[in-house]
Amino acid sequence: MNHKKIRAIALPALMLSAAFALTSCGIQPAGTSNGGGEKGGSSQIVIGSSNLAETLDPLQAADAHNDFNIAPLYDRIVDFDSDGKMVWKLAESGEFSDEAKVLTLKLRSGVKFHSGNPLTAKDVVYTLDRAIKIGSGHAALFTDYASSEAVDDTTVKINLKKTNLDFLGALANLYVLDSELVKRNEGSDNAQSWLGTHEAGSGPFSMDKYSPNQELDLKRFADYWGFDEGRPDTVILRMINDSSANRDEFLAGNVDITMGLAAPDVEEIQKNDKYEVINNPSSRTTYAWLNNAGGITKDPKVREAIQLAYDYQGHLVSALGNVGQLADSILPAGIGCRVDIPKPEQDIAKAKQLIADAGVAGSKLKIAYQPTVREFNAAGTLMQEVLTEIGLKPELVGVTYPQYVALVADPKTTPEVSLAWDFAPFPAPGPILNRQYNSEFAGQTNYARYSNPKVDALLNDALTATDLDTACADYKQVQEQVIADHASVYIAYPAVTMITNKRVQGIPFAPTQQDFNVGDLRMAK
Amino acid sequence: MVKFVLRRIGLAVLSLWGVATIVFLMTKLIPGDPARVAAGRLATAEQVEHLRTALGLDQPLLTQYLGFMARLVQGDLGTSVTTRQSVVTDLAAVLPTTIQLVIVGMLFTALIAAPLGITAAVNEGKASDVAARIIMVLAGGVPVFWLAIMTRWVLGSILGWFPISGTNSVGMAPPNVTGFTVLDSLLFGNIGNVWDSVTHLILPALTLSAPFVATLSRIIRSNMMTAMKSDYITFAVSKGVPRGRIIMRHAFRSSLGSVLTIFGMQFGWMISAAVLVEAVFGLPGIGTYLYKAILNQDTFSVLAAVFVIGSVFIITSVIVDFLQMIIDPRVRRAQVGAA
Repeated sequence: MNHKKIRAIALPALMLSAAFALTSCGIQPAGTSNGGGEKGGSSQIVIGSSNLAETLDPLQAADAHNDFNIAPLYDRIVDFDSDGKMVWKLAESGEFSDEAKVLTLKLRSGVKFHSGNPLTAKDVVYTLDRAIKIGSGHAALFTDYASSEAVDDTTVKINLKKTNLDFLGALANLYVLDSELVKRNEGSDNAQSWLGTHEAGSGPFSMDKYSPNQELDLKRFADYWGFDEGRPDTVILRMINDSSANRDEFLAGNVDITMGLAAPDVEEIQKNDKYEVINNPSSRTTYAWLNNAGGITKDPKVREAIQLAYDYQGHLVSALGNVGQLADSILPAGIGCRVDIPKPEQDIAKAKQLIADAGVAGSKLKIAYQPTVREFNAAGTLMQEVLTEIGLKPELVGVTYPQYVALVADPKTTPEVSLAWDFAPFPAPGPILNRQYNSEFAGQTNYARYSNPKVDALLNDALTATDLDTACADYKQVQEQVIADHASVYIAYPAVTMITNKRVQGIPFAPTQQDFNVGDLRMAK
Repeated sequence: MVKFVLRRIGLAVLSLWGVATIVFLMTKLIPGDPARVAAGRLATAEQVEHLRTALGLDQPLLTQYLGFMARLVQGDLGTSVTTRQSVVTDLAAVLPTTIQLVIVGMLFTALIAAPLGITAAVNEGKASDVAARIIMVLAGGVPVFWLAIMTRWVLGSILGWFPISGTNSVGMAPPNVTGFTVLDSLLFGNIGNVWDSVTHLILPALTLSAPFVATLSRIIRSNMMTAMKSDYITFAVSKGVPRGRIIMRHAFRSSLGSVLTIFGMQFGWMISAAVLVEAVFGLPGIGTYLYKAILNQDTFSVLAAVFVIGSVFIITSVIVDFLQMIIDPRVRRAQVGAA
């Protein structure tokens, strides 16, 4: 072989080797971040999470993935602190009148949007009207909204279709838009497309740069009404779908905070003093919804048997890695007016007896679960095992969330058992009890197809009560009845586990967020 | 010749229509309610119905299909129910990442498969042939997602030779002009950004190329072995033509016909295979987009993404046919004769 030909063959191999050699030297351009936060100075925080935003439109913050990215860009009328107590944010005060059909809010003055426009009452009116016009996402929380008016720059009067004391709390989910800016970009879709990749907020951080599905760069907003130097100068939200990639990026020092890691990874990381593992409560509950309207689970005895058969301790260990706690109420943690239930315990013998009494031994039933969620994979197996043990023939059916919702929408396809989460959008008992147990919502958000006229009446009374004490008493009765009916299996409150490299001062629990609110982060001293 | 070209283009258009129709029907068969997805998990029945009407999902299947086809010919692929963006805009944002990955993957495939196949063929039965065949079996037999996870872990996390995920390091993404990070970095004119973009591509592209290296190198080896035993090679050897020239100019060139076909088709296959690689390396390409769209039952996005992948495949096969005709006079004569 002559030299020319040898070169022809060897050249590709050499090029490849050269590429390897160069990269293996670890050559990086000046300024490349090699350890979280170094590039942007000491006050930059990089967060790696699987919270891939589908849109940055604040109306779609009902989706937790979106909300994680949206929350630091916007401000709310009210919020809830880590004890679940309502706190004023953009509003300084507010009061109901006309049998709680009118809500008058006094807004904070001097608040500015990132655009420099002042935040006034007309922005609140515009945001509410837009939500109703679009009718998706968080608009579902404002169905009692009739109209609103800007009385003056700092006073908003909201008219409701009916008495609704929970409306004020629901405003914790309303991110106020810069109406002047949004109107300029409204297009033909109420600015849904524009807001998908832009922001019009007044939150503690403004958007510096956004690469969809990749990275959202935030910059501390100097004119924020609640400005705090303790917040990082910049926050980079890296969207990495794979939890093992998040782990590797964290261990390589490329991100400062991550979450959603597998329990064995968390255990391993916990051994290293350089890192801090934070387990916060969440507004999430893990349920096994039982079909109250069809199949063998229509019989309360069977439902009680399933409640008794489930391996709760096994769930805590194998599905949650001991991070979280068993449910002690039918309401998510941190919500008032709750009726406590004894910590659930397994009793196979009693469950078997109930199955025999119901005459359904050997019957088939379906367990729907979402295989993409680690907790449900383990829970599905546990449920299958215990139901087999008590004499039933369970079949596991893997579904995506939209498939699950579609199955539940039709009484003929509603599975007997469905493993799923549900969240309280804000810590109040009314909205969550109403959508989970009001027969009006059967097959929609009443996943168990639960129907009890007594409960419907109590819920309607509570929701239209003009004082909180009456409402609270009604909600307690609702819970007692639902518990007595063995409506579903209330399994656990999974905690949210976050790992940090100690560059931030803890991470406070935010009841209106699924993970945490980036706007609450403060640099470690 | 013109007749052949027209016939081939006609067949491609027919195939595209077939792909669009099948995908449309398949999205209707997937259980789930896109209107509920669009309205959100808290939505009331009224809100869901309102959106169903707004999205045209309350129309009969045939009306929906005709509407879809009418929009498709105008280049309108609908609006995503989750991103609220035009699907064309969404795809324009994610496609460059995948195309860039596939182009580099193709480059690696060619650079590795050709020497591997040639070495194995010209050393048939010797140690280097056995070694090459072992590499081929490993490259083809190891699942891509496993290889991706292992290379990321060993070369990225443990040894730190390559970045772990994403298209760029924090703060190193160039301004988005074309969406191709390497090209944008070049336009931006910063060598640091170029280097960062290139290093982020190496591991995913190498992983993606592995099964394709196996296929291509096997075909090259087999073709070369046949060619090396043919009369014209024996004649060239007896004439004293240098071995290197026999291998590259005579044997390798005559083997290129089917190699080119397979190599060309690999572009389309790689786009489909990129789904797993993109997921492991956190690349925001069409694979990640399609995966999310399927999970969310975002019908219009699923339709569009699958249609685009199918179109790439069909268009690639047309281009390969034309290229083969240009390069190989035997194919040209056969096709023109048939036409």
